[in-house]
Amino acid sequence: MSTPLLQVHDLRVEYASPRGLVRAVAGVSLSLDRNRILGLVGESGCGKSTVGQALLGLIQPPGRIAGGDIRFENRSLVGLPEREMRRLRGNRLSMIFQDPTATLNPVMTIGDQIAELFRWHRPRMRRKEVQTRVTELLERVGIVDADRRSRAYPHELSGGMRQRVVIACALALDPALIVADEPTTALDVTVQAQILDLIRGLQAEHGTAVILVSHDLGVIAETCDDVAVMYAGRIVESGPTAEVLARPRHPYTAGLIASRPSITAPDQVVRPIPGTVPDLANPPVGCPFHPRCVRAVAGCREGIPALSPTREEPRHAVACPLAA
Amino acid sequence: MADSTLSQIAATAPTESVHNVARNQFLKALRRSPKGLAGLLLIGMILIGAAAAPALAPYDPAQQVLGWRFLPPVWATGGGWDHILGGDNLGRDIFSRIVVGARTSLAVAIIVVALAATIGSLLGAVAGYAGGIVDNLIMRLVDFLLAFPFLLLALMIMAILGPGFWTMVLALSIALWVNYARVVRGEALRIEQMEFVEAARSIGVPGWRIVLGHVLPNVIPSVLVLATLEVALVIIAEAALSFLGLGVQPPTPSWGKMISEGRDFLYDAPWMVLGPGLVILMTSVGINLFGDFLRDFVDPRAER
Amino acid sequence: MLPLIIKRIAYALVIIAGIAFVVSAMTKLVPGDPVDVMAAGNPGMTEADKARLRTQLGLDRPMLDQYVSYLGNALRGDLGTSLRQRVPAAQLILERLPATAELTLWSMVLALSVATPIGIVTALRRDSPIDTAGTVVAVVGVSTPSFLLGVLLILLFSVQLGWLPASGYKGSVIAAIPKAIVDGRFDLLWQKVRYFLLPSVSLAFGLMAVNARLIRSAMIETIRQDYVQFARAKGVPPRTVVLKHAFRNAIIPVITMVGLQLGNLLSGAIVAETVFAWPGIGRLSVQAITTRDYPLVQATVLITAVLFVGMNLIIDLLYQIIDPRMRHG
Repeated sequence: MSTPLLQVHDLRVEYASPRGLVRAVAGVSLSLDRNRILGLVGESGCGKSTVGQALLGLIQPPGRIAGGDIRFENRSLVGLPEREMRRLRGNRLSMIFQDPTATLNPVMTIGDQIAELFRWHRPRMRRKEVQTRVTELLERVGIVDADRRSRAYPHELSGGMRQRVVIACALALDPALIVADEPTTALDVTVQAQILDLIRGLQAEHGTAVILVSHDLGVIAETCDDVAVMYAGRIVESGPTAEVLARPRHPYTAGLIASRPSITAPDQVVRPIPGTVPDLANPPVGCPFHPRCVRAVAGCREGIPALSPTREEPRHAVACPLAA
Repeated sequence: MADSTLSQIAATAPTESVHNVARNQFLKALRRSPKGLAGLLLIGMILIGAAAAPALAPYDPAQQVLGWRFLPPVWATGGGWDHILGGDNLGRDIFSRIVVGARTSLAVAIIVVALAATIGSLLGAVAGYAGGIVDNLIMRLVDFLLAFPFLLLALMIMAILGPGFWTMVLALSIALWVNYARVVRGEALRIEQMEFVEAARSIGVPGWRIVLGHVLPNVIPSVLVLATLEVALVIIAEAALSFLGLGVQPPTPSWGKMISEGRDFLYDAPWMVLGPGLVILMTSVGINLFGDFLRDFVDPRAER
Repeated sequence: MLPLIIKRIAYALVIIAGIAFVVSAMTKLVPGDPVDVMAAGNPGMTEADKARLRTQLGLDRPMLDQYVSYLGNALRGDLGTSLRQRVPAAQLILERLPATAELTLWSMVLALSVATPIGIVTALRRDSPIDTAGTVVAVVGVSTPSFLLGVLLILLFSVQLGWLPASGYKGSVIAAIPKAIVDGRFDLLWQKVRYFLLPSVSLAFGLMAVNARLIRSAMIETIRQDYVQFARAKGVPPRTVVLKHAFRNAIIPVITMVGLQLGNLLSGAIVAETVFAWPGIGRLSVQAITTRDYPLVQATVLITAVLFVGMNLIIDLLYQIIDPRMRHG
């Protein structure tokens, strides 16, 4: 078997804040093959979006990558000069942002915003060919009357349309990896399904690897091959989506699943996880989840549990000694 | 979060302890702000100078002595400590004239800002609260006055009424009340939507009492900030009008007038403009620094 | 888009009509008999002159009647006759208009072209020593009246150093540019620019400071927008991200302010023109006021206010073009 497309090893991202050092990502390791979709799930503030930004080298002061390594297409991205990183961004790895209304520049036509990718990454491509490619891309993401629409400004399109444009930008240069950061959160429920279908369809067509960042287990269940559950800057459980959701081992994953209201069984009681996400500038001692954990014992205060494979299914890993 | 502490505090019923908390927070913020402290220092110097003018001025500002004509200041050769800032073309002591002139500048500024702020705030509150025709009338008048460049409007009024202290006060007040009306109206519209006003109305509190009791206390922070910054604006405008010969008439000393007199003697006696020029700068820099600090304190998000 | 433009133009016309009304009523508002007041400043006026003046100013007619005839005359280009100089006020204003227009224009160009790079750099290097220095300069800038700066600049550059003329105007710079380029007569151009330097710097300094701060805060606001992050994520080089994506958005709120700032410039020009003996409308209006030349005061006030309204209208329309979101609003 060849080396995976992406291998992240012990990634750490820190932010300097007035309250002290915030360890937004505190040692995350994961790997991803071509043609796979990995879901990163967790409550807001767990560091899942930061992982996505770190992959594209978008962490800016006061934040910094404090340690670990990101290997992508057999080269290390951590410490790569900004010039080199810029050549990869939008080209080999691209990103879909959460709110399409805020993601598109209000004073540029959507055609220009897609064409920009060709201008900077394919400088020798002729203007005319760029225009053809832009139209093609818009058609591919399901925008009718693409030629005319390419001259429209973002405010002239609906939210779903805008997200399609953002996806067209992400796909433009046929990247190997797309990071989709909550791509459906800002959209209407009916549009959400369309956008997820679109991402999945295009992904399968091109064999692209996708990291889907979401707080919504439903989105993850529908879309992802694998899932990694994050809590307080760490992965607490990971494995094939079906396996993890059917047999959650970590109390946090179980809590996330239990706190989701079910449409099919509306009588079922929703049980929210008690407490709140820990302050990452001042995290709890020991297992970061223990203050909220129903199964916590005295030992949970000592040492941060490592992510280790379960006995029954080696691909399913969990960072809880009580559950392994 | 210390977000708009003043307005939050003003929104609750004022009790002694709340006032103390507000004052403590204000003093704490002031101690931490070099901007606020420097501004306060400069303002303090000018205020003390103006208040103690008769005692501080070594000579009568109108006294003309032949031997003092074009007397150089202390830093130039031939100058001395008797006349720190030198003498002018008529043989008057410049330092004495500056100290006494401070009273003119501050008097104009304080009267104008007090008038403009009171009238503007009241009209703005009425417009915002009453709405409809009243609002329309007041705001169209505001729009109309804003169609004139500020100084041109003041000049036009002074052209009608003639030069002088009181006509200048009137002209500047007419030109400036519109700013308060706009700020207060905006705030009044915002506050009117808030629940405690709704609640007051539902239990039958009359409209004018809602304006006086709820709207005005809430806009005081923003009006105070605007007023502080406009004191500097008025001091500059007064100096400009007096510079043009339209403001305070001789023999009353005025900083702007002193600069226009000194302009004719730039080659022989540059100190005639340097003294008053420096004082105008000190005053307006001081007020602007303090006003900036005040704005940051009232609304910490405004700046960034 | 079209109805909006028509609405704006109509509103501007209403304002101008209002300005004309106030200006025409001005003489009626003068306490006492304005003709006597004027006569006091213009010795040598006979009783017949006074009577003619009363008719000319419309003092013998009701306010509305007077307004209608004033407006009618103004529309035909007749703004009355200067008492002092005994020439049509319109002619005096036309002679002086180019000098004021060009001074205001260069001051605005100067203010924006200096403020833009400073605003961008201080936004990108927030809280650095450069930014702190910018804050200090900004406070000094808004605190310095243009007439004071003008006098101080004359003191330094004309009196002490002798580099630049202390006052006067030697003709238009814009008009001299083609000749400089075609015939290579840059010396002639410089002769004119020399006279512009001190007045326009003294007028522009305050606005430079204000605009640098405005651009700074608009840039700080824009840089943290998602679309700027997205541009970076697309691999757009940093310089393009800043100039094309961030600055184009940041400049939009600043442009609205430019319209109001023209008012500051016109106000400042009234005083600065007096400082630099600049033959413009500002100095003309001050002279008219001090000599109680009411027809000329009316004419200068009317024209300056109309210019201000007109320029704001243009800025308003420009805004619709720059911000695509406004075109359909």
